[in-house]
Amino acid sequence: MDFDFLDQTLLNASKEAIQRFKDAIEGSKPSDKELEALGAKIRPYDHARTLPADFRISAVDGSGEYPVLQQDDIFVHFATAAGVTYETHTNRQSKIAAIDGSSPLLKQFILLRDEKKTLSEGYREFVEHGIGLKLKDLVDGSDYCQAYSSQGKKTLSPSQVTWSGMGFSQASQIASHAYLLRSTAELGMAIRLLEKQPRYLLLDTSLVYFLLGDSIFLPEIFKRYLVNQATAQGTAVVALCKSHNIPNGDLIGRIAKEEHGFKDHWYLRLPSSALGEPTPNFLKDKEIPPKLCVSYLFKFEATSFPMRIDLDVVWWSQNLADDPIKEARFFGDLDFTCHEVRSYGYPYPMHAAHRRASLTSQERKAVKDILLKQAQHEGLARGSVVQDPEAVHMGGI
Amino acid sequence: MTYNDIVQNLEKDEFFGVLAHASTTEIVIYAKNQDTSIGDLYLIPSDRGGERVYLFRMSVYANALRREEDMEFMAKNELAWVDAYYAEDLDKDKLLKLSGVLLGYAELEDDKWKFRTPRKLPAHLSKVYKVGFGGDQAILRQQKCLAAILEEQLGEGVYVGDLLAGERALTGVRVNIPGEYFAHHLGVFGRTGTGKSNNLMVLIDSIYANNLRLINTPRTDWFPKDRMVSLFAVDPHDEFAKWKPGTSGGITKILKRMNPRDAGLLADPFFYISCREEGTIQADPEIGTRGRKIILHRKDLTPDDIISIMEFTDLMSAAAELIGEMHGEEWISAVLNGDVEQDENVISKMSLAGINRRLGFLAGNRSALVPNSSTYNSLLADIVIALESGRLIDVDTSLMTEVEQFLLTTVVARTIFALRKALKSACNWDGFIGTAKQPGEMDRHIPFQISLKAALRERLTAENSPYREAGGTLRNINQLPAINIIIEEAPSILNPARLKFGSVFRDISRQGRKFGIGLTVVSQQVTEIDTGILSQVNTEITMALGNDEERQAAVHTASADIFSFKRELQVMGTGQAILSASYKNVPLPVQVPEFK
Repeated sequence: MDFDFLDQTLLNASKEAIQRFKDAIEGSKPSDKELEALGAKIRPYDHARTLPADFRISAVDGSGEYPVLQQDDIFVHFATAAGVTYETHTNRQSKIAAIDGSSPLLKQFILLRDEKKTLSEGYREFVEHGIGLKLKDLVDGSDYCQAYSSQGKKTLSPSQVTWSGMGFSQASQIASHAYLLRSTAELGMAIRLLEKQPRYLLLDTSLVYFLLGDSIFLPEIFKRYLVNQATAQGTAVVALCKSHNIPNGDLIGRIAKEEHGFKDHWYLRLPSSALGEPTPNFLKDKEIPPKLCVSYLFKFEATSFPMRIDLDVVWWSQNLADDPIKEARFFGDLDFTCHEVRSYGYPYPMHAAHRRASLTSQERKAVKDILLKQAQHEGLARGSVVQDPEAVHMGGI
Repeated sequence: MTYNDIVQNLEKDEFFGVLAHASTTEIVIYAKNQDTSIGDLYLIPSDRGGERVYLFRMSVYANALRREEDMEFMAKNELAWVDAYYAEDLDKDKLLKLSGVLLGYAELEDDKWKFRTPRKLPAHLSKVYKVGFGGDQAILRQQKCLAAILEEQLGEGVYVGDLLAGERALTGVRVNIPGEYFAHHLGVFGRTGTGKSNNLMVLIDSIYANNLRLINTPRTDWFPKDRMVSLFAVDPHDEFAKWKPGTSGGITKILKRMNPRDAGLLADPFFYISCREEGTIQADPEIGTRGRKIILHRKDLTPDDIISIMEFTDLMSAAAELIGEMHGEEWISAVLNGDVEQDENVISKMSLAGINRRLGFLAGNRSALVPNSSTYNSLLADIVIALESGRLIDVDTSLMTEVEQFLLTTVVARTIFALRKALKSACNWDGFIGTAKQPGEMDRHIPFQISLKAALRERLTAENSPYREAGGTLRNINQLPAINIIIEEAPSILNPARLKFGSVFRDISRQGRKFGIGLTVVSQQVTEIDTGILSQVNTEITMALGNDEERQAAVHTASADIFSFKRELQVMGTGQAILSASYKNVPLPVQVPEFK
């Protein structure tokens, strides 16, 4: 635009946008009463230099290139997900150690196109061959249908959960498929890690179920399967959200610091509809906590920001249930994993999973090069297969 | 051993690293987090453009992590937070980043490995094998491959030491200097305590082994650069004969382990000369009659000998030379007895006084080396004949003054140089030795020393003359041993000021090679030696040096590019050295073993 937009109209518009932004923040501010009630529930926990007992902890993260190739309405996506498992060693110099052979890596090409049958077939192949799970098993092994029915207006039976019955946006809606594929890959990897019997399984996401009760959504089937299987074996699925998404969450942090004197190592359990508790006004329609979940706002080290954790309500009820001793141990356990030098203030297994999963720009290019070479070999080296269509068009202009 | 043999041998064991970056100036390798040290050698087979095995020598290395570019923040975090720790998942990520230069590469030519200077690079991401990595069998295989590709560079002849890879001496990879190159000039540079004496002792042992092999091998079976080596080994600490106290001997031990015939061929009539009385020397049962009292006569000395070892002005030099011409072999007695007449042109009063003062150390019997005697009594001719016969002479200079030591070295070097020049100039025996009617080339090259010539004639016309073939014909210089003269504390007589007005050593350094005479310049300092001499040195054994200036000079002087070794010249341990030579394509780090 050659900065032609920098005129008085834009300045006025920006001023108005900021005013509306400010109004939105202030409008979602908890009332003093709500703040007071929440503040009263803030509790400290000890900075965990040692552990009462060692445990095993896994973490998952995903990455990929979405899409890695495209031609017209045909897209090839590349999904990756990495899992890691560590054991704590409270009495050793290295307090946390990777378990041999415990770092599986999922890497899968997925072909999607706008044509509906091919689209769902692409997902089916990804789930069955890439991840190694069948839709029927996911449904049978989870309470998805039950949860769906309880949250929605209609009842869902297992026989209704089919690939053809699943709602997918068009393949050209790249962003939505990127989210879908990446979430599915991550959750598939998390399910695979359950065999390591970790006490905690960390996910770099929330446990939100936006569409539960409305439409069948593949990641939500995975989530329920994961949570159910994990809870059954005593593993806590800990969904760690670096962005807590709580409006004016900083006010809660300020109360912790100024009124309670906790500059770090504190937690606050948010009221949960899953426990029959009324949702504060400022959290209404925000899915915080998500359906079927209990959420905490908490802080590890002084150097990190407050974060949010979502836990399945069943596991929570069985293991924490508002017991301050159990809660302190839970946060202490996680805090203990935050003292690795490379990620101080953040659980190291999560950092390691991210480091292992994330593709560098060179790796993305390498994947693309491999595919292009194959495409050339197959006589497909033409048009936008070779170059991003936008780049081709922009280059022409 | 073919290229495929080498690759198969190396692939039997783990590779050590992968080539990450290669340019004509630097090689970077990422390697396993295993023990390594500066100076380690690595083999890199690569078939890009031809089957070649590259040799890389690491000069710098650093710890690296696979995923973390910056380890500083990790260290800082550990300090900042008392409870910070490292996860035990780092092991796979811990790497070493090695860098250095390619020493060169080898390729097969006519079934022989030829080692070439680095004009090519190995292919991308080539696998790198460390020499000296893994179990004993793996190391043996690596050494075998290395020895194969360096065969031509390691040479045959006089063993110097074992190839040094980092801190490991590769005992299966022996580094040699062919005998022929002892007729060239060697430099041995190293500060005190670097093991120069031991290196010379090992060299002596190796020269004996070389000569013994050649004596017992028909000449037709010799290697192309084989040659007998004679050594005039100045021994300022009187240790080569019997080696250090508490050991079982030096040269005496080497000779004792030979059979008597071989020992006689290599060490008779003597191998040890000293200023001590002959009776005392020979009373030592280990040395016996193979020890001699060293004695020279004034008549052996020329004005040039004195000028070469002392400060002389232009005028004094001219005067001394004129006195030499006027008085012949009696010139020293003439000066000391006051028989030289002054003149107004060359021999001024001042010059004569100066010469007299400088010759003062020879007055009376002040010098044990050159006592005053009216009758000619000197070991010089015997020393010359011994050296011309492939002998090694251990010269105990511990009882000599520095001037006497230099004088002895100079006289021996100059006499042999003159004889070899005469030999090369002569067409036949008579032309060399002269007849009653016609002076020979020997007379031309040794004009004044009548007594010495008489002694030489007597010995050179004897039955076992080194200069005559069985049929009486003159022997070619190439058939005579390479004679090497060790000059200890070389800066004292090879400094630029001393060489300003000419010196026998300057002549030998420039022309000695063609007459089969070489110098071994031993010094703690490279900078103090005349650059003209240094430019003629074509084999250097460089050990640890004391300061940057000396290291810089050593790098500058070396006959092969040893720039990449400069840092190590500071830290090399006892007996470790860099062997560089104009006839080797690659400088070779060596570990000289302890003489036992």
